Amino acid sequence: MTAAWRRLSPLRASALLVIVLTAALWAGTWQRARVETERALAAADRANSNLAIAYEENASNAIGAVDQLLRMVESEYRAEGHGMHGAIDEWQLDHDLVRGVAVLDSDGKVQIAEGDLATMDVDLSTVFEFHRATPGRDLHIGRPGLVKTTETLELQLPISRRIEGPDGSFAGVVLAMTDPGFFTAFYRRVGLAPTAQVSLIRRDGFALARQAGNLSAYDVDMHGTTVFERLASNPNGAFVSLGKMDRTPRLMNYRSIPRYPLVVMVGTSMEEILAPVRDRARLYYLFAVAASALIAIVVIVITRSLARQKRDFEAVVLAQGRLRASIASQQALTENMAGGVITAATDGTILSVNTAARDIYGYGPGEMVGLRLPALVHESGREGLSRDLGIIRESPGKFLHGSREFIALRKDGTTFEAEALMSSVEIEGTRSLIGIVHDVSVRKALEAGQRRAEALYRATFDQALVGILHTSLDGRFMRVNRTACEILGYTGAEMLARGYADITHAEDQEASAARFASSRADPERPFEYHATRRVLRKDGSVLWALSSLSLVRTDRGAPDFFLVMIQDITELKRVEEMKDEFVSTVSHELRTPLTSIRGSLGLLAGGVVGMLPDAARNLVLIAERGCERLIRLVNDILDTERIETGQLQFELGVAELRPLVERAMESMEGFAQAHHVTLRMEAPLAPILASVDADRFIQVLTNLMSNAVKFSPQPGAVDVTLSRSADGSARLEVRDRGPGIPGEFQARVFQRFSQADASSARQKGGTGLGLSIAKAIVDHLGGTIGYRTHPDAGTVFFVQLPAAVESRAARVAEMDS
Amino acid sequence: MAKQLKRILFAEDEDEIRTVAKIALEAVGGFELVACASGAEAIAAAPDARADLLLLDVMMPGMDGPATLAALRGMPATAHTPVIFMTAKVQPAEVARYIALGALGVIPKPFSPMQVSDAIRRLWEKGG
Repeated sequence: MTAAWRRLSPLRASALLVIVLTAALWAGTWQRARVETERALAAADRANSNLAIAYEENASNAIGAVDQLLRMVESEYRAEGHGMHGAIDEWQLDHDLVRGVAVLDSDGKVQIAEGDLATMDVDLSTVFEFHRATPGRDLHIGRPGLVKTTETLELQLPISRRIEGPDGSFAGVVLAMTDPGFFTAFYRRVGLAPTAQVSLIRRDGFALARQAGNLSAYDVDMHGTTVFERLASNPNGAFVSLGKMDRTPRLMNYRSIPRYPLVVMVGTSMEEILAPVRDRARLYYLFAVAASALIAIVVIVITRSLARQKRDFEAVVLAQGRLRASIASQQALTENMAGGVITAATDGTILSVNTAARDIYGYGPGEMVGLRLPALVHESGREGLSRDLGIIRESPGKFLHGSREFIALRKDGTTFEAEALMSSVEIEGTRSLIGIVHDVSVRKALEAGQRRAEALYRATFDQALVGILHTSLDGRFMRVNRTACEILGYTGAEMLARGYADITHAEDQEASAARFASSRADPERPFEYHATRRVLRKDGSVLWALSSLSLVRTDRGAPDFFLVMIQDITELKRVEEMKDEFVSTVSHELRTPLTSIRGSLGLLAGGVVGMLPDAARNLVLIAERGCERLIRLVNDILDTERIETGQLQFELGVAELRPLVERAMESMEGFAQAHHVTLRMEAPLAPILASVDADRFIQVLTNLMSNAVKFSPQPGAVDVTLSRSADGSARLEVRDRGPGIPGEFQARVFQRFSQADASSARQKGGTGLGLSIAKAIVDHLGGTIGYRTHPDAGTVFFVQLPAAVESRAARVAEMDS
Repeated sequence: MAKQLKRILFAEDEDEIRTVAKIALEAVGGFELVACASGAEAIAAAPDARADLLLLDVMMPGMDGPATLAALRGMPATAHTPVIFMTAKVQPAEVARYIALGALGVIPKPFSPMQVSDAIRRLWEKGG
């Protein structure tokens, strides 16, 4: 219901209103008409009733007078007998009502006759007979009958009474002939409307006199009429009837006269009763129509006006809503801005601030609005602020929109570095200033930090004692420091016009280019290259430099530039050379006496200068062995020194390994025999090639075999196996059946001067350098060296050398074989 | 070289090494040795030495081995005589230098007196 109500459109509502009002109006009008009708009817009824009462009285009085007259006449008769001439006049004979009086004796003979009865011959037999037959002294009102008078034929109504003797026997009749018209004269007398009606009716149903308008009727049979029926139940009453005489609807009131068997009836035309009401009703209804129309018009007008108002109102509400939304979004915008937004009037009074502004300046809600802008600025900046405000006020067009840096003042008096974007706007004629303020202290600090970092970097870069060159991916110099320029002999500008190729020695160009290329080949691997290399100076001279090259990548991993660092190692190199010289010289110095010793002992032992006694020969052999050991030691120390300094030089060449193995074994033969160890070799006939320095390879083999022999049980055997692995690399194995390498020593196997235990070292006669040298050599040959060991099962040392490309010679050899 | 190796012009400044080498080369190797104590001596002896081979120490005071060789090469008698250096300085670079100077090879010191002659012969035959 509520929902339906809400959906009621103005049109429907107004229509409903019109309907309701109109219905109410008409209902009210109809009600009024009805009420008035009823009132009219009620009034008419009352009037009628009063009229009936009056008529009743009138009739009753009249008949009462006649009754009185009859009693008097009767009494006179009884007293005087006949002969009452003029006596009636004494009794105020009303000629209008009573026409004649008569007394009849018991035989019916007229004893007295006055008035018309004296002069006329009237048939009174009916009356006489009635009374003779009917006992009782009640006044009898007869029925109007025609009487012939001297002038006319008149209708006269007898009113009579029985005279009774003392014994109640019939003694005669006294009667009066009345004018029934008297009873309708009431009509005229009262001045009833032409549509009214009066009737005087005998109880037995005969109307003595009736008058309606100008129509009179006497002796009318009322049997079957409504009044007659009503009389049965009610002596008095009212009803509406259709007139017998003229068919006019009338409101009838009837009253029974108490003393006489008569009923008076008064009727008023309904038309007459209702006519005024009808007129008024018509007026009312007319009024109602007019009012309805007026209502409708008014309602429509009002409705339309209201609708229009509503539309206007809605439009206003909508506009207001939009405005509010706009303001809200505006506020939200400024509220949520990261910076403090401050609006001020041109005189500097703050108009509005957002939360961020309050936070920045340390004010609480409501504290900033109303302050003046200078309160937010350190005194150092107030002049500038005044100037800006002045410009805005006087020549806003000249105001420089943009950012300003200043020292801002917080509520608590502390300051901070601030940056404000200021602009002046004009809204609806009012100019104001809008500023967005940021606390840039942090940013400034960061910037300062950044500058310091940059300065540090710059200082490091510029003042490093190594030359630093940032080289582009295609080898051009992008940034160089002073040291680099000094080392290479160029100015900074000259350097930036050159590239890596310009400082590379001709012989190294190809290798250098290859290195550059390979650096980019694998994007995943970090590229670094360190080398001692020749560097070309501006004057063409060659410098030995320690150069490191690394590839610097961007955050995303893409190659960015090369970081090249060069160090002039001429000095270093000279020292190295000196050291090398020194070592070389020292070794030479050591080797010189050793040459004499070895030579002498060898000759002695060889019996070249004569046979020695066994004991002497023995001693010589001891000395010789010692000498050999010393020589090996000197060699090892030299080699180790060279390994340390990277001076160990190799002469690589592709060689068949088998002959080299054989040579090594040959040289070990004596040593092995002395230890009662048999050397056995196993090698395929097919040539196995590797890129080696032959002497060094033999050195490795010799070292391994020496160890194997030393640790072999006596008697024992050492197996040397040469094979080709699946990947084409050459594999060499030296196996002994000694005690194996103890666990705790295994980690140090290839370290310098490491031996299983000091005592066995002296026993075994090693230098402790053999394996470290062997490893260094194998590493340099691009191979791997390792071992497998098992306690009491022996040890296998293996060397794996990368496959070498077969030389033409070897292939030819193979084809020949 | 088809030619036999018989006479060797030997320069070595260390007396003891010279002594031992002489015995080793002569007694064991069967060569005829003209042993000199310096580069100068070798140059002096060269015209009459009729050496098949020059065996020169490298590290000698005054004229070292290579200098001596250079000088000997300037002399008709030894202009084309094959040369072997005997020295402790046998780094590959040094050896390469000797080879570059035209040497047949290098005998490293200390040498084995019993085997040195064979080594020399091997080099001689290889050079041929």
